[in-house]
Amino acid sequence: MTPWTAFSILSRIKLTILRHRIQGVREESSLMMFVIACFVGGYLGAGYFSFYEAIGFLYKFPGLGQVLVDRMFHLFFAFLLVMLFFSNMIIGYSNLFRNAETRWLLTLPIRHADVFRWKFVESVCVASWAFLFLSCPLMVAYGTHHHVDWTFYVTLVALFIPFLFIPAAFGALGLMMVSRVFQRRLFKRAIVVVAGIAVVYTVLKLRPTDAADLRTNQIVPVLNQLLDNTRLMLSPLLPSYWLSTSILAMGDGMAWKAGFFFLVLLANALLALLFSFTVTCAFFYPGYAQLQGQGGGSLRSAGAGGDYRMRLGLVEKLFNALTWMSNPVRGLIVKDWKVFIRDTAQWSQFVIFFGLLGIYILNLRSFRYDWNNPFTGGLIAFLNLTACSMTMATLTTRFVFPQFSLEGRRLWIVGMAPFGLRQVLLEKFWVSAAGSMLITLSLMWLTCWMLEMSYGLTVLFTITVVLMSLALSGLAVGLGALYPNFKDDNPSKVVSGFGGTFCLLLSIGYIALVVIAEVVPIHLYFVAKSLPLDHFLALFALAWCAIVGLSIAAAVLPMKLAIRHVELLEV
Amino acid sequence: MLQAIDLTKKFGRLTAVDALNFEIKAGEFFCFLGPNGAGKTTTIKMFTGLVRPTSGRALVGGHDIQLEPVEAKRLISFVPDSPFLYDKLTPVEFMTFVGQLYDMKSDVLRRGVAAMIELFDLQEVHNQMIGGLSHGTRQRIAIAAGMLHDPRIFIIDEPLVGLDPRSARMVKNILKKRSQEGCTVFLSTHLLSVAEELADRIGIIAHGRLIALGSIDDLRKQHGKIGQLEELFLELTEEEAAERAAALAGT
Repeated sequence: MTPWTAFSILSRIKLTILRHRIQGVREESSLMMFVIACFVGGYLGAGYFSFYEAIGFLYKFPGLGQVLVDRMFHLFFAFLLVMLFFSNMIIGYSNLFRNAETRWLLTLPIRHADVFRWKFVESVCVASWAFLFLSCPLMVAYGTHHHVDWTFYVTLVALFIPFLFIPAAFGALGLMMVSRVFQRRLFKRAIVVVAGIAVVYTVLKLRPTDAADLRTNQIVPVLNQLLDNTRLMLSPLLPSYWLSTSILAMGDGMAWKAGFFFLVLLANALLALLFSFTVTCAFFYPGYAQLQGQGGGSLRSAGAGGDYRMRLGLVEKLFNALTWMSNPVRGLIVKDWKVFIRDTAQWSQFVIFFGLLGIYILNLRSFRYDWNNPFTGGLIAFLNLTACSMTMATLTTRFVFPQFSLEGRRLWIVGMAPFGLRQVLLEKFWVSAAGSMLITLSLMWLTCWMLEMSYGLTVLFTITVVLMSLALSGLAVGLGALYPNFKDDNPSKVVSGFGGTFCLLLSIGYIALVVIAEVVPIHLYFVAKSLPLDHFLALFALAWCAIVGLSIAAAVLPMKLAIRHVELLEV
Repeated sequence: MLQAIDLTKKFGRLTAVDALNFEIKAGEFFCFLGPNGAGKTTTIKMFTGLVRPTSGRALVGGHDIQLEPVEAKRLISFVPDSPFLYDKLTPVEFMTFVGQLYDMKSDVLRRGVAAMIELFDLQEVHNQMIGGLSHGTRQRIAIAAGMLHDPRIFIIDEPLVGLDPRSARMVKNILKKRSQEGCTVFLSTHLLSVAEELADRIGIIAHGRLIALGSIDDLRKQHGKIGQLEELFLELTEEEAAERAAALAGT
């Protein structure tokens, strides 16, 4: 069978599956479809509006408007390039090495290289939807500003396709190197060492350069610094540069320039594909066989010569010391921790997630804004609160929501235990609340310190984060039990279903309401100066009553419903 | 048709399969038995190319599975204990797809799919999504898809798991008939009664080593056992375990 024949057979069957899925959608709940449509439409609409306003704002800078818009494009696509690289690595790992379909395809008379090629294309498709989702609003907003016609958007498709294959090829190569070269334990230790070095570097670099330097209301030095710091994105070696230059040239009607960079993209994409399909594919089967050989791994026992006691790790010792906690609960927590930390697909995403947070924190070091302006100061403070809260929402949705579903076919184990599923849910709730509180409070205090925020605001935000931890954990655990997915073992697939989407939407909605409730009285009193003190205090108290009430409702209601649901669940 | 030549697989310090040597001829019904963790699945994975041997060779129809994987896989069909199926395909679509991957001509494929639907009693579910079918039905679909292209070697791991007695009888009859028609069947199972009923020869593996190979009658005579296969199996595996423990104590 030629590679093309194998490709065409596999493509046809995937199209058949897609057709069936679409037909199946009609049988799904209308509410679910409505919620998803609202989310998609809402995001695209909000994204378009935000980008449209942002581009309009940048164009108002005299003499610098076009430069800033160009730089924004280069920065945006550079970040997406990095995102695609990591996405393809992570998705490629699951798709190539942990996928039952791959295992089955390898037993068929299809060349190993063809299996790799097929799965490579599949990974690109799966990793690309986020790229399209994120870039569509920006493209439409830019196109609207430049009054482009429909050919602009058609040409965009032609540009995006080759662009997607370049980070995918590098991601696949990186994945093959990792799978071939690193054994699992060594890889984990290497990750820990690299993460440790990154943390130390971040801590050493965290101190603000000069307090006086930060307090500036001069635009020119700020813009100079911004342009200077983002000059790397203008490197002509970056595929993101070729893509953004081509798009900008198209918007300005410079067809030749756009065409030139399109050809650069295409040539490099074809080279990347050729390399993947001829060289990288050769590493697939040896890497696969090697990973198969690692199997489940084994642990050292506590003693030798017939002593089969479990060797206690640090986590077990820590929880054994908490004698006030019941045995089953301790056992559950330790089990959840071990299952999480031994799953490469899970903790590697955790590491990437914190890497991105690290970049955010590092950037705050040289962030400058006008401290004397209460509007700007308040805006930055609440944007930071929103960023920290969204981080928490992402954590709880991505890692906490799938917890109940991941018990999956093993649910009968905890279900049959005397303490029941109610205790299981409560354990997951408290662990999630404690964990997300710890992480988000650390992030909040660190960023407040770096932004030199007032003590009052820091206390206010601390209380907010505590309430949010409880609320978001309640939402994630509760909805996770109300909308479980026991069919999939992959947490990403569990989260991407209706329940995960619903959880994310509710989390974002909750955060938005809380932030707005906090902002309104503060803005009216400190910025707009339109409220007398007694009115401000009354409004502030009212707002906080609403926040506390909403947080309790968000924490308790889904949990109550979930507990009732699982108590009736037939395992 | 299937030949293991000093076939060895090590996972770090653990030797999962230790210098296996055996040959299974065309048309033979061979049952591979052993306690849990003995190395049965690892052996099967080496014959199907999912795992690379540490040393030795696994030959399928004369082709080394590592050196000529496509040629070797054209001859075999493999059904694992938990077979992969596409939930969003019907049995007909799935079998058609499998047939295409084995390069079957469309008219032959169409007739073959119809024959498999009849043979495995899948008429009532042939147009339903696989995702909504029971485990036993999915198992039958997997076996049917495996037989579609008329493989010369059929490797199957625990075929009767989840099958009701009627389905189990159906599968056993089909496998035996195929074997009598010239297909080599390599069946791994814990059910000794299946081996007693169907096997021309059996191989017993324990701790990665082949401790018995031959027809059940020959092995009974060799070990002076006239009862059920279970007694023979237990005695052989216990002997092996005792020898192993003595060897470990000696070191």
